[in-house]
Amino acid sequence: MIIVLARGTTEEQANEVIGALRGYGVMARLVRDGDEPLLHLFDGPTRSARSVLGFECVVGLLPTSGPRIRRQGRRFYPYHFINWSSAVLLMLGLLVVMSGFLPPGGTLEINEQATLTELETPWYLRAPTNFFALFAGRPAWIGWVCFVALLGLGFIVPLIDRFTRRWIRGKWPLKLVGLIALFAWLALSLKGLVY
Amino acid sequence: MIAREEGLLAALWSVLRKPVSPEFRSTFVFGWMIVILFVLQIVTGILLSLYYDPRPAAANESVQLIMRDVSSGWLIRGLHHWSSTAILILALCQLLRVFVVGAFRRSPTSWYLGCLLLVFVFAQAFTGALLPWDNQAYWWANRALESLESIPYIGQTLLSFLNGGPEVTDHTLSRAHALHVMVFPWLGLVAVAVNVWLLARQWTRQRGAER
Repeated sequence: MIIVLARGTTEEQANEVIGALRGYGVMARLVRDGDEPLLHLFDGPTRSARSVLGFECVVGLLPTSGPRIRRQGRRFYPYHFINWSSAVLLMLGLLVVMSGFLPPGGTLEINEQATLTELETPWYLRAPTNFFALFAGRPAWIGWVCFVALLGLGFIVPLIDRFTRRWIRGKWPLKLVGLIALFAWLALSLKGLVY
Repeated sequence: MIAREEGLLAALWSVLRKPVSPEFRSTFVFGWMIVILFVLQIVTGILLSLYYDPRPAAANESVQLIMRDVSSGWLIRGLHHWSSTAILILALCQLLRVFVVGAFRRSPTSWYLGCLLLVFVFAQAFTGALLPWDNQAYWWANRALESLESIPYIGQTLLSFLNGGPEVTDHTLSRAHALHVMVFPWLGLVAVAVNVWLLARQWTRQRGAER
């Protein structure tokens, strides 16, 4: 097994990865292919090498003992499938548990005479509902116009980005706007719930 | 179109054949889970529709029947309910992630489709919440449709289209049911399929460039 390191990886960084591998019982040595640093794994359970993919300097893994053969001529790497399937199984388990312990309601018959004093808004509608409540006292269409304008702005993000990329560089503005949007959503959703 | 070199099968093969690389790690799980949840929604939705009666007088009773008497009905309905919640959360997280890491720059069409998918998922969740036609659903419908009325120019038309009249009536349930079963799932499915196809094309091209 070969671990491909990023160009410009220093010897200290490579040694750090080698040390981490040693922790898993995998022995490795640093080799260089031109200016590309590589780690040759020569002993131990090489399957554990995937654990060092978290290192910034690690680009990827290359099996050298021949790919697994599933069908003739086709290489098979089940890693993604295993990772993703574990996540899906975990999620399905959680859904079954939620279904058992928190079953959905919907059994009270309609009473047209008495309106609900405390109508429970679904969580996903709390933010829009509270957004409209910000415009209470003004004509109701203003809330809708602002709401649709915000949705429209969100929709045309790639266009806005294309025209503003000259002046705004890097990803920090995206992170900032994303964070503001997230906080606004959470704040509007929690409004009225938290005292 | 499912083609060998470019398309869904090719993408599946590239998933299984590509060695672990840093660009497709845990964040990619979101999209995968949304697809799985979408399939789960369709399967549980079909099972629920075997017992659900969309007539206003019988809707609530049929939901109670599913929860009480149908074998594993509580589980099927619970899975349908909670998986719709999970799709909403995951779709929101995925869109936020795509925005924050700037992934929409690589594929703007995927961003547009993701936004549309989010709208469909919201509409799907809301119309689904009306289907038990209980007290809560009835008053949600009243409140939501009242607020729709104030949309400039199209509010009245939209209201009468969704309501079948000026007030919430039995037609409201029929229309919510029609939208929930026959409109939004298909729109969502198209959005998901096109998105997966676009990703697959991007992925296979990227793989070709790497060779």
